[in-house]
Amino acid sequence: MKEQPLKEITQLIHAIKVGLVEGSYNITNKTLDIFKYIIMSKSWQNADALMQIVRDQCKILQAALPQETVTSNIARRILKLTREEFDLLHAKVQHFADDSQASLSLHKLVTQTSESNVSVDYSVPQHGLREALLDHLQEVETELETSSENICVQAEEHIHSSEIILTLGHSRSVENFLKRAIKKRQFLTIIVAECAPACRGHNLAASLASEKNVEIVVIPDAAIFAMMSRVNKVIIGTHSVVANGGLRAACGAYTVALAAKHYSVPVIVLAPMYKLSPLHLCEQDAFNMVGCAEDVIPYDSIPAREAKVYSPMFDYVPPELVTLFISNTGGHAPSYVYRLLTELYHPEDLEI
Amino acid sequence: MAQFEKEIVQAVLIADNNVWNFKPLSDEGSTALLPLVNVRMLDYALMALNRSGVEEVFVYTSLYRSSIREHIRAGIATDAAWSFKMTVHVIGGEGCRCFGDAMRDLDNKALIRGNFILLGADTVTNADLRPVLEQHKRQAKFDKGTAATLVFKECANNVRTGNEVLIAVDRRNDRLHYHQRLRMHHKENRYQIPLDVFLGNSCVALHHNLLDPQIAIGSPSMLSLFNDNFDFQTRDDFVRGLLINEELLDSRIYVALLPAAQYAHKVNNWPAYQLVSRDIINRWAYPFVPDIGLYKLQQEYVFHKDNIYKSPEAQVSKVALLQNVVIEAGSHVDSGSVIGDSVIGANCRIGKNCRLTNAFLMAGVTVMDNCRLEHCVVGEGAIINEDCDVSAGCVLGAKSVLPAKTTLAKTLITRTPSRRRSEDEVVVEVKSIGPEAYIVSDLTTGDPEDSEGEDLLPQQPLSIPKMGDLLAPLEEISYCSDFSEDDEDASRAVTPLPDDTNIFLGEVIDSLTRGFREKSNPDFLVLEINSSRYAYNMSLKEVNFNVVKAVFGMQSIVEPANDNVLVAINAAFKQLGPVVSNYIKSEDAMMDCLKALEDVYEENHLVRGKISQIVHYLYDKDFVSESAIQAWYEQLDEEEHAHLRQSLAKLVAWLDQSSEEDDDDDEEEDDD
Repeated sequence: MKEQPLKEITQLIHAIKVGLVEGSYNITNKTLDIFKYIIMSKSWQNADALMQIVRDQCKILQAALPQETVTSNIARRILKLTREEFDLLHAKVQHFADDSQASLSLHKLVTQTSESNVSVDYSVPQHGLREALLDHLQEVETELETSSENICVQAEEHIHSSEIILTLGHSRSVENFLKRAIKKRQFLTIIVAECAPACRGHNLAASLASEKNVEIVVIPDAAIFAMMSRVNKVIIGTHSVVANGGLRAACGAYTVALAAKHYSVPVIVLAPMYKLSPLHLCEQDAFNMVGCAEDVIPYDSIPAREAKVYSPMFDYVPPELVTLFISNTGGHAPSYVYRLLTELYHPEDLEI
Repeated sequence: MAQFEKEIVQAVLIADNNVWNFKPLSDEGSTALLPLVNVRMLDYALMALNRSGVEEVFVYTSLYRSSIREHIRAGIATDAAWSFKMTVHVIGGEGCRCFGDAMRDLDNKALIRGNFILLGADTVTNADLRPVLEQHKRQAKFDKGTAATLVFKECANNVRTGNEVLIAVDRRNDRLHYHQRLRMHHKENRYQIPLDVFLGNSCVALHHNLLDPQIAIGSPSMLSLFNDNFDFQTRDDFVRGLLINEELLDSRIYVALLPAAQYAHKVNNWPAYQLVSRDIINRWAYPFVPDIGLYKLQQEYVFHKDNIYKSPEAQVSKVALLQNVVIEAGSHVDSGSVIGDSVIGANCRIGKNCRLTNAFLMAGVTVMDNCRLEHCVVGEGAIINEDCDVSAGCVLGAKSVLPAKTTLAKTLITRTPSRRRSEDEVVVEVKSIGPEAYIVSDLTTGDPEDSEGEDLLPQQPLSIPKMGDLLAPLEEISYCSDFSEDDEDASRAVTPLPDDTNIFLGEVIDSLTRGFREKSNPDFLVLEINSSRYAYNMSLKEVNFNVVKAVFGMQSIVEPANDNVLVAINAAFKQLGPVVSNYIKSEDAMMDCLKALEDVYEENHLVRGKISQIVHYLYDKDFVSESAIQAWYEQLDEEEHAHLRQSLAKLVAWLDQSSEEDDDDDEEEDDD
């Protein structure tokens, strides 16, 4: 049976499609707002019903915007939160019932959780769940808000004076990260690959150029390899991180990563936690998105009639080309991503 | 949001405005609801407006108002992409037969409050029209007579769909000075542009590679202009009328060109349908691509290599999908079939070993085994039985059933034989090829006026443009056209400059030829020539000159039987002598006559050989006097007319002699 989408969800989908809401941070924020609204609304009576609503709406979002994985990531966070809060309240109620076992022994804890994994009935109405959820949601919101700042703080640890940094395109996290580094360090040289055909690298360069004490160089994508030999570090953003630690990043990232590998330049990827997605890269066709043909060749050219034009939006960068992820919780190696994912999401929610 | 509070942006969509070109499908439903790559055309237009920040849309329709209204309602119910932040009204008027009527009706209803976006329901564009609207507003502030801003898109000049235009624009203020539609299947060798365009403006740019997507920004005055001028039928009439009567109407039209990466095209006939389908599949109209979830909320297709868009719910195992294919959910294709450059709608069934190239199948079509479909459109629910061969621009109407082993090319098929749209139309003879398949003639039905003739140039034959190979060079495309390139070139070469003198000469030649053939009374011919003379304001001298020239310009003298020009001249003068002598009376007139002969001498090689005999003949018949010939001979230039003088020398010498001694002409007679 197909669920009807909420009005807020359809509006969000439309806004993202039209381009009114851009950037994964904004999309995540808006999605979180909608889920908060769902939790606040009185339309659910127990945890099971709430989880069903969240799943259904998430499926609609996924069907409409399969490339925007952050929406389902945030839904998974909500589901995990609901499970945790429910378990906690459930445990509390039980413990009140038999006071003798108020303090849980380690042995008890282990046996209890293994039991509850099998037979937790979420459909039991639980008093105080809504309030507890909203409390915790506040935490998630704060985490989201401060994620960019938390990443920036680590800039000094990674960027040192008179280093040459290369980046690609325009990522908001990278912009803030570099701005912080420019403030703290001197004689930096930042090379920006323009990332054709959208050439968003120009925007980044313009934005960074307003800072003092820094040299900005904009290069065409073709010059990435030539410039790489003198680069100390590559710092890029990403659209999302897949389960094996690989990246789905802006087109051109693979070029950068390969060139960096050739010259043994460390590749640092800025990825806030909400970009971590428990999906594996399996179907190449559905993975990518192809953009407008006119970005590549003009419509009124003769070959335009016969040519098939692909302008892919993303590159897949395998995990072995990434040196380090910097998230809001610190630096992680790509091989550690699976561990972060198990902490972040409940195993049962990996498939929504 | 702040900028919208001042003034809400309105748009007008004109539906059903090229009904005739989409026969027979247009007889069964609104053309605005025709699916283009499985999304209805109206939805493309509405989405384009929505993306341009339009908040209120009036869909103006005359033929299928209820079905369009139903579609709009369904769209809002299912969260169609355009239903956000935009209200859609469906309006229509009885007796609205053309674009002009629609505009007049809109004016009367007073729904439009400010500048508005005007486009056809068949326009596919991803352009952001906000900058154009801003440009129009700026222009309107500066020039109170701004009536409209037309939007054009640059395109390649090698494919024609009938929407290409040539315009002349003032480079400094983007004002339109000249507008001409280009031919559909031919490349022009030359363009004729009025001299005024260049004389009146110091800075004119000519654009010959533009596409007219029927997008315009209108001022409120545009509607009232339509109301004031009842003869404005189409948008082209409006443009032409305004350009001709610029001062009178005190209105001006401006032009905006879409920047690169903004696509716009009008789908007003089948070739355009084919072209735009292909452009959408090739992602030129991004974000209007099939795999983005255009109309519905969820994404319907998965994009594969070679521009193949396949719905996950379509069954196409063991089928060769070549390139540029869209297959919608619920369709099933059997093994062994090969599909390329095609669009397949929802719930279609395609049998084994079929070949589909450039085929456009709407929802629910069944194609049995071993069929070949090429360059064709198959309407909703149609059935094509085994071993059929359908090609070269065929269109099958909804629910028609094609019997097995039919071979069709360039034919329109409909399900029911009796299809008369209105009483005043000619009853069309229909041929049956099956119990539920009748051929619709595309040549005789409907006059172009009725079907919004804006798309058709008057000299084009009245047939529906059909699909074909888009990449075929233009000159070779000659299907459904009555005239061939050769005819056209020949007529161009012969046609001289049409100034008054030449027209007069042509008329005189016509009169004389007819008079000569019908042996009519010379007095009548004189009368005719005189009336022509006054019509073209010819002086007496010119008349004398041209009449003689006309006699020699007659077909019988230009191309005489057995090349015997003297016999022909003799015959002509026997009949037309009185006419000539009516004009050639005085000495001066004789001089004109001889001057005309001088012209003919240059043009006609037969006359050249016999010039002295001809002059002698005229002298003999008393058309020219001896003194006139002598005076003429005297003023002939020594060098320029050396040959002519030489030919005449003998004659003149003899004339000199004969004036001295009258009876000494036997000698000369023997020469003849």
